[in-house]
Amino acid sequence: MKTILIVDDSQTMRRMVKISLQVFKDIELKEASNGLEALEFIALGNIDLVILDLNMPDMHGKEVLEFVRKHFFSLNIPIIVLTTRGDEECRQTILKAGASSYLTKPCPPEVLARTVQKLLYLPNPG
Amino acid sequence: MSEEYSYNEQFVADLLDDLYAEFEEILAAVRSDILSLEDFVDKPELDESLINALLRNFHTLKGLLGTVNLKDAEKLAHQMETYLRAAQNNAKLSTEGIKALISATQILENSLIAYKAKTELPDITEISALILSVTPEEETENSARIESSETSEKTETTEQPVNTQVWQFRFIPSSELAEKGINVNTIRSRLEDIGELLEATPCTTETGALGFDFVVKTTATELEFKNWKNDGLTYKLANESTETEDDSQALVPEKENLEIDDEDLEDLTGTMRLWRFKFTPSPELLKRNINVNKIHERLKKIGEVLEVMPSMTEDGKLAFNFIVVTPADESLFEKWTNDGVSFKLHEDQHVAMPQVETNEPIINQPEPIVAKPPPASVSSSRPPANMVRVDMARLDELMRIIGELVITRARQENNFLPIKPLISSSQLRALQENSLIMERQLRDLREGIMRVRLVKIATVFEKMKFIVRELAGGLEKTIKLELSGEDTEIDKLVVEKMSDPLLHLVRNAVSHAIESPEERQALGKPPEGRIRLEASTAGDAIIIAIEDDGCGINMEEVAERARARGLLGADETLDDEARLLEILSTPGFSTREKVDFVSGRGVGMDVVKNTVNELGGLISLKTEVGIGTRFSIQLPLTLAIADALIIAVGEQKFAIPRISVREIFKTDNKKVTVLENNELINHQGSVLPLVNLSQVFGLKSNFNKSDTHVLVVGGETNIVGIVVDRIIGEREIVVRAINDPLVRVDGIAGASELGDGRVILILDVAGLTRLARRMNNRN
Repeated sequence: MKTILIVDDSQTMRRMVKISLQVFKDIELKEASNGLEALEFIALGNIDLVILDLNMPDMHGKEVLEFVRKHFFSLNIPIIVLTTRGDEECRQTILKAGASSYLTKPCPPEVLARTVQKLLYLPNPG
Repeated sequence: MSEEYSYNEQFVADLLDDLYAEFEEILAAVRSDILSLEDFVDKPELDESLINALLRNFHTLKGLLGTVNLKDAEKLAHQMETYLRAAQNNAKLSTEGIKALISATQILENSLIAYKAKTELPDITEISALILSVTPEEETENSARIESSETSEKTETTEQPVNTQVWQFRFIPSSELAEKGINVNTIRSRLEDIGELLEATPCTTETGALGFDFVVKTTATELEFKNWKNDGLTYKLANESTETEDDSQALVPEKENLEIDDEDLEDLTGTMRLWRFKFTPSPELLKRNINVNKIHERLKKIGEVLEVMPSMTEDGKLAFNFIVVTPADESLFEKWTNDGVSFKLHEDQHVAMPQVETNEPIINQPEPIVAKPPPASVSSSRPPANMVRVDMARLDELMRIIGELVITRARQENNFLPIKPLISSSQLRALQENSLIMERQLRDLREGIMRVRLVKIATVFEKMKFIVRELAGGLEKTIKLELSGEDTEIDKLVVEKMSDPLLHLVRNAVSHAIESPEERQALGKPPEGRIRLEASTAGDAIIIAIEDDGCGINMEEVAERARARGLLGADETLDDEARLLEILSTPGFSTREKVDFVSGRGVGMDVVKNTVNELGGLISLKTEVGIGTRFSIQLPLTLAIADALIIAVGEQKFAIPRISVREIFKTDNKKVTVLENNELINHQGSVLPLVNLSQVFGLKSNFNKSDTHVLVVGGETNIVGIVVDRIIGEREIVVRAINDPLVRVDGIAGASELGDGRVILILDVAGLTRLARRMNNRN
């Protein structure tokens, strides 16, 4: 059983991600509506993978990413950044900051699922 | 006390724009949620969070609609909410229900559009009946009761409601209840429906279980919630009368579950001080439902949170640091130490503190915008708010002033002529140079203002996704909508005007063009239909194209019907796409025998064409039977001021928008061939039909026809050449529409003023081609 944390301030977006990941049977999904809550989850729980939005109130996704990479580096959690910003510069910065993957919204469900599958070494769904 | 219902008109007017924006935002969320909900049709379980999001949004919608007094729409939103609630309770959704919701969402949107445009509001009787028919009976009765209680609440100012009582409810959640779809949120919204929720606090029961206490002020009687006992809800009458305390409570209708007593909040009268809080989360705290969000909420209630920063403690634990400015003090914070919160006064009390009015309601302020004090480091997460909302009318006014400036400058240049002999050539040159510089600066200014009015077309495109989904679902077709160029920017007014025509084209494509999956497979096409929406810029123009890979338009069929209606001569054949478009755009013309639900209402092709013409644009059509259809619409970036070519036919001058001119060439009349009343010319290997302005407007052309200019105009498929005598030059013209139907002439789009004060007519290129064709046919 793997636990995936979905971080997005928009409930709809979280919902979309959840739907995309429905193909996997053996996973648990947790949701955080902002960066702070996300850090709390990561610090307390056994999170195996994070799907992270960038543009959020209170704490930007990039800060979350940097914080996790700096302080929880030993956990080595794969982090997929899923954001609406699509420019190359942002992508480079985020990847340099330690994101495992950079996807743009709206993301085709199969793309997201495949990325998750790869990062978690999950068996092929269906 | 009914403060929240009786905004005065000025207040509403000021709020309207924000309301529209929020309304659109919520509708967008509702749309996508309803689409997601579709997955749960006829499934034993529903996604709680999705339903709750929808319920919350409908709740907000009701509030918004109530604010602008759209009673019908408010009622409709309420019925949709009731349906969802029923679905939630019975954990059952039907396809009809989803369809009804989708249609109702459209009606809601139409209501607001109509309200905005001050036109007649859509009728909700039909849709309302539809929703009621899909809602289980028990629930409708319930809703009727709720409605009556709500209306009585609203008229409270005039008549005292019967027997308002304050009840205390306690809800103890359990996994059994959760399976039935009953959780604290469902209970909460139920209570909100029967009355005013004064308080909502979590608590622990004697047995140590988690519970929630609600205090509700309601006119409802015990009968109405007796049945809820089965849902883990107990209740009793609260002893004290709350008439007095109600006023203060009414200001905070959305009270969060927070563990702060009211007396603590009332105490907040001390001096403002800066405090540092540190919250260290732990699994134990999480079990008690205390997490960083809860702490954040608490701190927001007692003051203003200036900064939130995560950090690591020395022993490697995660902690959150908050800097808060608050009048509260230790006596309150000490109670929180058990919740993992530590606090101390901020070292530097002398930093500039924002003026926080604590008695101001916290509602309607999702993000309090207060001048930020400069504490050690300002969180970089929130970019500075450098966006300004501007009323369109102000921009229009600016555009009008610039238009006048353009004319004044032209007039001034004209005035140079009489003084030319009086001053030296160097003086004249200086004047002319100045004038030219001014022209350039005016152009920059105009472009600057124009850019302000531009919005991304994505807003319209996104809406189409929903429409396609809605229609395709109803028609049992699978359709993929491809978008490109959503970032293309276009004048706000143009976007608004084009929204309906685009909708019609997309609807047509979905309902008529794309075949059913079976048909498609039989034709050797992929079962999934494809509709493509593109937007791109080309110089001063914007091109929007709608393409489908459906059945195409059968010209023979159209020709037959056109002949039957007398639009096409009996012996005339239809082989030209421009002519086809013209026939399709005749008011009331439809290629379908039966008018179906989809295209049976809304705008027709004639409206599409008229709107495009009105905006000074061009529409063209390309179609091939069995392959698909492509509409391409060319629109000017802006409407008010345009670059134009000034041309002359005989003594009459005309302006023609430069964007519609593709090419100009010189020719002589020997090259013109006459074929069945049509003048044609061979141009660059293809045949170009000509429009002779002197003929169209009955002007006397005194020009020697051996040397004439042809302006090539038109869209992708309907290109024509306009024959003129002379080309005088290029000017910036201020477009003034001719609105009076008595003065309206086919082929004339508007009028403008020249520098010498004379009025010049602006040619309507699309109208001209139509006109010319009609004249040719008549002859």
